[in-house]
Amino acid sequence: MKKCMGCMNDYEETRGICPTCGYSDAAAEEQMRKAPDLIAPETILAGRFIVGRALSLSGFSAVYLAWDALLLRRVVIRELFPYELCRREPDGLRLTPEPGAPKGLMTECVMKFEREVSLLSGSQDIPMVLNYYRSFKENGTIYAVTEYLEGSTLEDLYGGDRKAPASLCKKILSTVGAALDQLHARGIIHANLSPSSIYMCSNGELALIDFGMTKRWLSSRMRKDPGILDLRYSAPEILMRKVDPTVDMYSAGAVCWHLLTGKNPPDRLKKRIHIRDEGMGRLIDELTAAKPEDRPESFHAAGVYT
Amino acid sequence: MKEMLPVIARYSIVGDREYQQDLCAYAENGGLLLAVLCDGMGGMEGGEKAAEAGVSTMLGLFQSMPPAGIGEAAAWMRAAFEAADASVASLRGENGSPMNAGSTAIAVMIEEGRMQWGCVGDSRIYLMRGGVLSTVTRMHNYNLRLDEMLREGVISPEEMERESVRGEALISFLGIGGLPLADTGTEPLPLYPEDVIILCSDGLYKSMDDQQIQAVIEESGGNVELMVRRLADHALRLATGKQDNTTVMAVRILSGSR
Ligand SMILES: Nc1ncnc2c1ncn2[C@@H]1O[C@H](COP(=O)(O)OP(=O)(O)OP(=O)(O)O)[C@@H](O)[C@H]1O
Repeated sequence: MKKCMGCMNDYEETRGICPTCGYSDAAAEEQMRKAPDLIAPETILAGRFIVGRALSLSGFSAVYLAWDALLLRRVVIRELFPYELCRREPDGLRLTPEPGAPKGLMTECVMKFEREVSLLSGSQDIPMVLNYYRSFKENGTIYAVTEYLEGSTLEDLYGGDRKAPASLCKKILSTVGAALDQLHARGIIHANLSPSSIYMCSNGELALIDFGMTKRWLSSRMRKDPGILDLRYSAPEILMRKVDPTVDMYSAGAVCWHLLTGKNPPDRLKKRIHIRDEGMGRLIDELTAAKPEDRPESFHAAGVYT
Repeated sequence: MKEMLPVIARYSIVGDREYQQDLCAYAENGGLLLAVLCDGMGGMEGGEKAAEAGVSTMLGLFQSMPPAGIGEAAAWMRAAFEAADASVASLRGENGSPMNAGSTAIAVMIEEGRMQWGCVGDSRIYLMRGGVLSTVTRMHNYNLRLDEMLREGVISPEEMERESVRGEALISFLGIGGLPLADTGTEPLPLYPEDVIILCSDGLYKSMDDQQIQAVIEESGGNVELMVRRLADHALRLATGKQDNTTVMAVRILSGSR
């Protein structure tokens, strides 16, 4: 039997291709040819996790499907891999600091990431928050192991100009909103909410899959926008490094705006957002007010859940 | 003043069984915390009734006649196990005939950073400390007897193998009538911040090995509610056959100050 690195099901090796998902060794080779910076499928991390196919590689991290050989389950491993700070060694595993990158910044980034996962770990009692398992430092970086969810991010589902029904926006505001209110009560601000931080599971449930703090910190440390922060959903004052809980109201409103209209949210300072008729439009308007003091105090205060 | 605060959570699943014969509870009385877990056996409702009698006898005694302090807890537990044994043995069915039901019992008592434990049967207590998981209790089953007899040269390895098909049969349990075995610790065990004590029925350790149990404890980040739920859910998922009733209690020691 062979474990498929595309879906982690077992199949008869002689078949050469996974009957469940169609993944094969050739697909793994193709991945490594296209993105040699990724960790190769079948690599073992922490003596326990078998790395599978990559789910994404961004300027900030690489995300892999993986098999937990101890608890026999699929997991997701996020590897901190900020492009501008480090590069992959020829062994295909170790990350070493980029010679041009500010000294010590990668180490600092690892610490921020560690802090972010500890917040994630401490928020496990909040519904909607992704199940987090553990993190480990290895190969010059840090990895976070979380639950694998069947489904897609809202970015993947509605990224382009596909419109979502108003009912989905209502659901986002009530469930993600309630979770954000609870995070805020503990002094945690997401500040990077976007359609790619919200996951739609195949059973229709939503989940909040990242906190995005390390990313935001890194983008401000690089002093130029390294393109890893999605400004479309960011409250205007974030660029002035002013962050309070209402930045999350803004982002949630902007996400809903995008989903409803199928268009990128406009820059709030330049243009007023209007979605006519529905109550949803008015709500989004309130949430995305340019001035923090004009936004509702909380999602609860906005009346999106009781 | 620095003190150690225990936080506790419990969780049960029926698994693939028809009845829930596991029962657990905890109570506080005058600075002492007692956690008890019973896994009943016996047809129909027998097991359920036995577990119920076991837990309620122990808790009742704890409220009415608690030990003077943790130093007395071992003697108290042995007496409480005997009382619980008698009350399970006296259970009668609707028609007045003996129920012939039984139950395991494990108990943990905590007072200001010290712990005592007790065990009858094959439920299990673990202690996780400094990244090491250790089993506190031993299983009172026929395998234990066979091991002894093998060590003493009473039986041969072949006989042992032949006999071990019945190895999991309990040789001591509440309801047997005069407990042949009832274990407790000797001196109270000092506890340290971040210690985690797990009490569980065999449904947990028959589906998960120590390494897996340890990983799940570690991955719960000290959240005992999450810990007990995840442990039971993993046991159900990892079971190779039908999953037995599974009950897990977790006590975590926090350092706090008054
Ligand atoms: N818990 C998960 N279960 C299943 N798939 C996941 C999970 N987390 C992330 N993914 C998948 O991985 C992909 C990348 O995730 P995400 O959007 O968080 O990262 P990104 O946008 O690529 O990167 P970054 O946040 O590093 O800029 C998503 O398309 C999503 O489908």
